[in-house]
Amino acid sequence: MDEKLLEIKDLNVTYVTDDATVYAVNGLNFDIYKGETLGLVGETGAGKTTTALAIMKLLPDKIGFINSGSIKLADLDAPQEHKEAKGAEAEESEEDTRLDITKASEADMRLIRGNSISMIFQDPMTSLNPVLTVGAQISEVLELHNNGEMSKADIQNKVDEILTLVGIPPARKHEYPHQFSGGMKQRVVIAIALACQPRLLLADEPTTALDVTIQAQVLEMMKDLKVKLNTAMLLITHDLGVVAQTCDRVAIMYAGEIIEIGTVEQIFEGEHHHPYTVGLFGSIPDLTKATKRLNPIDGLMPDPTVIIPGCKFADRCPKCMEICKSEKPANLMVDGHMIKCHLFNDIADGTLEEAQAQEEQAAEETK
Amino acid sequence: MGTPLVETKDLKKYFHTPKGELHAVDGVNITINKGETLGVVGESGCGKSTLGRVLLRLLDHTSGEVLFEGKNIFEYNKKQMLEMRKQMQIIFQDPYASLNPRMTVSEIIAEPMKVCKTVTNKVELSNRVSELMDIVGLAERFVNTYPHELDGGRRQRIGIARALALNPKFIVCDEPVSALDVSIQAQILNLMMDLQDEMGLSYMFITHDLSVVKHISNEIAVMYLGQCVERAPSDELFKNPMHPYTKALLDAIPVPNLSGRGKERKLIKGEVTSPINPKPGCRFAARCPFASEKCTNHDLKLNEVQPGHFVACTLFE
Repeated sequence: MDEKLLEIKDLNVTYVTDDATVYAVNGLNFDIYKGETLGLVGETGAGKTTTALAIMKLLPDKIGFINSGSIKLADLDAPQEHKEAKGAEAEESEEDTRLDITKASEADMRLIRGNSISMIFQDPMTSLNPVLTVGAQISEVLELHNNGEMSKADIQNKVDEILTLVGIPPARKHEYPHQFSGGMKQRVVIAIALACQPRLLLADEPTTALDVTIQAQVLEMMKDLKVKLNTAMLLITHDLGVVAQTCDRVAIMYAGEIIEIGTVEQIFEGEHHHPYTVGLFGSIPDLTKATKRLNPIDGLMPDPTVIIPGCKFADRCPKCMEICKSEKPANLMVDGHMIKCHLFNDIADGTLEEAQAQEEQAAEETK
Repeated sequence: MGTPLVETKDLKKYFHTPKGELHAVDGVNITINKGETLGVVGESGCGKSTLGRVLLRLLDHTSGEVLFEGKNIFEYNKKQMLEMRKQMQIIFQDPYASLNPRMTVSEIIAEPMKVCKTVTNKVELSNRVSELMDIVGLAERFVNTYPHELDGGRRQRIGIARALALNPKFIVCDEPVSALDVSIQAQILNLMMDLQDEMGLSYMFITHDLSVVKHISNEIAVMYLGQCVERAPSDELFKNPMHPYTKALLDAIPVPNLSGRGKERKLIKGEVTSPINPKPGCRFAARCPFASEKCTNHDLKLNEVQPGHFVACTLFE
């Protein structure tokens, strides 16, 4: 098993406004492994962006709160020899070296943002500063995370190097964002995000605002860079096509919960699925099949200000049963991947929590 | 077959800019038959929306003709045009910006009927509004709500109800689903197809999403920098794309299954060139892998390569 880079456990995020409390993310559990791409799929309002903002600790001040749960970032910066030197004693206390983002101070977060974890925002048109040149915006990240190791000339060289990496001629670094097209701007945003070679990249709908041909170019580039820099990526999107082409694992999110998570093979070709996943796939027009009508999911996502006792999808679910309305489904393991649905109560091989406990036990035994 | 419902003849629309003439629509010939859908696809800035607006005379044309049931609408005066507008309507891209935030749902849907004075009796008007809301699947309880209280899918349904209010024959749909989530998008597409079957509507469906357009169209026109580069029946275009740009466009769509994974994709390099004072010849030549001398010499015309399949490319001359 690969090394865990980020471990999210039972994360709850709420937005508190004068009118109501919005339960944006409810009991979220997932891990991101080193170097993998995890796709986070869901409709608008499912809590995808909130999850990313929580990881960056960028939730809106005084409105957004992480109520409970933990987001643990593995401390991979510590050199391997160092760990070994400490010996068995260090192994014991390994759990403690991981930084819990939910408890981190603002000063700690400043060191992490842009350096260990960085984020690409959805709209390249608004995420760049219009009054600074592109080069200045890239070097800003490097200067902030420069511990006196790089000279000014070094930084400029690094800027040139990164621009070449994302396919922009370095000569254009003295230009302003408005002189670039949408696709080029998104490349600049990616360049800024990758400047410090982060271990985790949160890409929030990085290609939604782009045309298909440009989208294909940007996705291809991100794939290449990921391999080159060995960065793990959380790709937030609602486009299942993009997921199929780029991700290793997929998490499907609905109303603040992950309702299914598995490898791309399990999600796209597996036998058992959450009814919402089935509906999501039924909604996309298939280019290869000549179907006259689509099979959308009826209705809308539930109001996030209301706490629902049972399954959140029950109202729209074609296979809704009595139990769905009163009892929350467990995180069941079906065919090696997690589905949160009562339909699989009988055939499941246990729950995700059990599987995780077993895994941890096995890991300890091998030690 | 008779006269097509809508036909354009060498339609041009240039915008004046400080840098020169911007060729937004440059000699487009399309025909839409009654009860059918023409899909118009292309990247942003290729003139799709401008074409839709010139077709409805919401923008003045530069030259060329738009024939609606055989008559040139550019020769109509204001009064005749008002009469014309009952026959042709538009659904806009952004359901958030195209509805007046200070009007209630019922006021928005009733407005076209008030403007065109098709229904004057108040009771009839409110009956007609409820009928329209029923057709597009909006619950009765939303009659007096304001657009900001509703989600994107419901707002787009208001836009559709408003377009249907005058019983038009032809509707220009300018990216009606691109602002919506996939599951809502499917609901709206199904609704639009049902309405077409029931009322015999003709659509011009403008979009950049090729998978959506295949689903709904009878014929597809691919636009590049103001020109139509390929036109063919929907199935034919997807089975047998001919123009290098169409091929590249089809290749760029991420397919939602695993068969395409790891396959080397042929990407077109570069971006759309400026539509201001374009050079003669094929506008795609600069990005085209098959470009040769011939492409930049002279302007290209759509050739009928196979029955019903038109391509503007030197490879097929």
